[in-house]
Amino acid sequence: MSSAPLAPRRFLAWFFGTTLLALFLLSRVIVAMPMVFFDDAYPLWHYAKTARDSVGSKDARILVLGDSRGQAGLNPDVLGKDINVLAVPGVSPIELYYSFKHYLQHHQPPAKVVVSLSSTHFGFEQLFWERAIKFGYLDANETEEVILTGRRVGDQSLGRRSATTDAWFYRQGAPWLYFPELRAGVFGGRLAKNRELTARVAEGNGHVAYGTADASDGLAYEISHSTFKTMPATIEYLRILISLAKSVGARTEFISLPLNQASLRAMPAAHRDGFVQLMQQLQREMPSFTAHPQWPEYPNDHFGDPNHLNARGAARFSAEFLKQWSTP
Amino acid sequence: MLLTSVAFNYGVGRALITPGRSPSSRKRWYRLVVAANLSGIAYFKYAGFMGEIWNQLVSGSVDFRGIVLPLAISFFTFQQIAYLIDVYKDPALGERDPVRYLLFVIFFPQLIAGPIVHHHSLIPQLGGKGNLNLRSDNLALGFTVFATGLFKKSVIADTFATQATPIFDDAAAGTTPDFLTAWLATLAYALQLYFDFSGYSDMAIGLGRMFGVTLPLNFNSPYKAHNIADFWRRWHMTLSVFLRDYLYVPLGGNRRGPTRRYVNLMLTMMLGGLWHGAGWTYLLWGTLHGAYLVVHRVIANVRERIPLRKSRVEHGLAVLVTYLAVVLAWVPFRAQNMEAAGRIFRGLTAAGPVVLPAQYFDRLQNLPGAGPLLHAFHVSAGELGTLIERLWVVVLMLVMGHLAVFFLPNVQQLFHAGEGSATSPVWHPTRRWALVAGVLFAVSLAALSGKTEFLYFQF
Repeated sequence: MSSAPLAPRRFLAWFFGTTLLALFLLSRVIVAMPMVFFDDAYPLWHYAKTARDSVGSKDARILVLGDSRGQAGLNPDVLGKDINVLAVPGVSPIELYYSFKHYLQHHQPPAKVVVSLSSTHFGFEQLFWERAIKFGYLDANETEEVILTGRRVGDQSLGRRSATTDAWFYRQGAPWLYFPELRAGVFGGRLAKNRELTARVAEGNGHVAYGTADASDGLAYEISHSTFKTMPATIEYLRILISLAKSVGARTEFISLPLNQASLRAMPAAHRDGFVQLMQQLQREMPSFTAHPQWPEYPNDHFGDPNHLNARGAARFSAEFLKQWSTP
Repeated sequence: MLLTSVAFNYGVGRALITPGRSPSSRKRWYRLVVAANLSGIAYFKYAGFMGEIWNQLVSGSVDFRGIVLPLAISFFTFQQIAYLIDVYKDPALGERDPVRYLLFVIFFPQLIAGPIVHHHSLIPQLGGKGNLNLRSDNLALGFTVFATGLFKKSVIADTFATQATPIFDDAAAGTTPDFLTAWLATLAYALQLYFDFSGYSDMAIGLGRMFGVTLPLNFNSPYKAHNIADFWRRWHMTLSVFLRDYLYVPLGGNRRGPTRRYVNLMLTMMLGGLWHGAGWTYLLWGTLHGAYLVVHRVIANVRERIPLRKSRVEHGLAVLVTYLAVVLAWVPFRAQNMEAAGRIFRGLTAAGPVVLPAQYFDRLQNLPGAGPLLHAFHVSAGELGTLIERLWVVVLMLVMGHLAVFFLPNVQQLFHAGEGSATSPVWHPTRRWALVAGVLFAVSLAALSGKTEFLYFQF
């Protein structure tokens, strides 16, 4: 490399040219090697994406669409062949709708769709950008569809003016949007952990034990939300999901997974009531939808952490699910 | 707030330099303006702390938490106080042009976190013909220095922050860290602060250079200092000069005997601590540095009587001891409160648990003779503090950071001729430099997305 002095203007051209080229190369690395730097949610989303899109995987009469509680609490080995679980950590009804849509493109329609989500996932915008978009769970057209839907229903966050540009930068792997993960990935040795988790989740057919403790009396996420917050787009997408299920002849049921006694006692009344009222309102609006939003109470020794059932809890809940919800 | 301060101080400055004004009138104006400036900063920055002391003393319930601290208030207030003191002593130094005075205070590269610029070095540069015009040679050098500084801040300092912050947060929440975690976090914070402030100073100098303005050096490899006085000649150099000229010397400096000199040193550093922040932790930090300076002065007095030639080993040891003293003083500087600082200190002195991750403990235990040693120091296998997941990565980062701090040339040495001069660049724009600086700039821009804070902004 030449160390001969350059004219200052040429130097500046080289400097800014190098800056742009380096940013571009960094963005290519981000797009090409997500497993290297994303946290342990990425392998789980990646697995769900593969499962929803894979042709020839099992068709089932009942499809469960859920979040991490569903992943931990429903054991496919107990549920058997008639029930498919497509659960992704940190999802909202938006991602559940697209899971279902893709699923239908590759599978026979189920007779019943069971939706299970933490009530906190109805109002957490960052989940959409930091998970669904960063992890590439939605393609460009689907993302635009979400943004347009957001605008249609007056969602100030997803429908905001800059949303389309933001989504473009996310898709291109703009380094400034991914740097915290890049830094953590470089120093945290995430590739090995992510590979190990990918193998584990595939082995468990999507079942993941989040907490491995023998018992937990910790408080669930809901307790830190004094009120029930929603985003118009998430509610709209639950409606769209229910309509899509109806269009293929399937009923939709909403269930909440169990919480421990401490969490149920500490549940803010405004949060609980707001959530239940929303579910009741949707049930009134949409005859093909039935809601069971109340959280069943399980003992502490059924929880591996404050939010997720452990193996004991999963065995019990899976058995109860079979008994209660497996009838189309 | 800033513009009010500028207008007020400019107006009084004009009053001080108006010909024919009597000495008593000038003195009244001078006292008024200094008192007004100090009252402003006392209200905005120290009312909360004073209220806290008052509440503790009389079990009161005074609450000043609603007062919002204006950004950079310490910098623009003391910069103007220095100007007014100088103008009071010598009216010829006064600035008549309101635009130049305004530019002197609000020149943005140095407004937020220094360097504290002396009026006689900045104002002439702002008024010169052709100054503040963008020239490609200034831009080339300015962008290179700025990119280096931004990289230090947003990539290196913020990476060390990811290791230090959780441990200090845990200490504030009541957890006493184990011995190893406490040291890793404290050393990580020492490097975080170093690269943060060093990076910020480089950015200020680079930005200034883009406009053809040479800002004074503020940072000169302070961890290479071989005694604490040397440290203060290298760390936040413009603050040290300010404290010396406008606090230590007016207090009597070293002119009134050794005892008074030690008292003056302590007072200056304690007030310097409070300048950084209103709280007991900053006072403790300043007190520690005052004590260090007193001890250094006592030792220096003895050594002056017994002249000894310093060997390289002795010099190295002096650098190490100085560094350790500075690092220990950073604990209260960083800790959220005195209790948290106490917990970190307990960890550092092995008063808490001494643990090693199981895989390292097992390997060490199998080494010949290591077992009894581990037992003697009560070392057991266990988990390290939050986020210290991969010990070897953290240790490697710390080693690399220290190698850079102790052995690499600083930006001043790379871009300018000789230490202490910022006016004669020997740097030439080459393709190699363009590539290096371009990559640093790109990575730094990417890193700006993360939640980061410029540590020196709060001061």
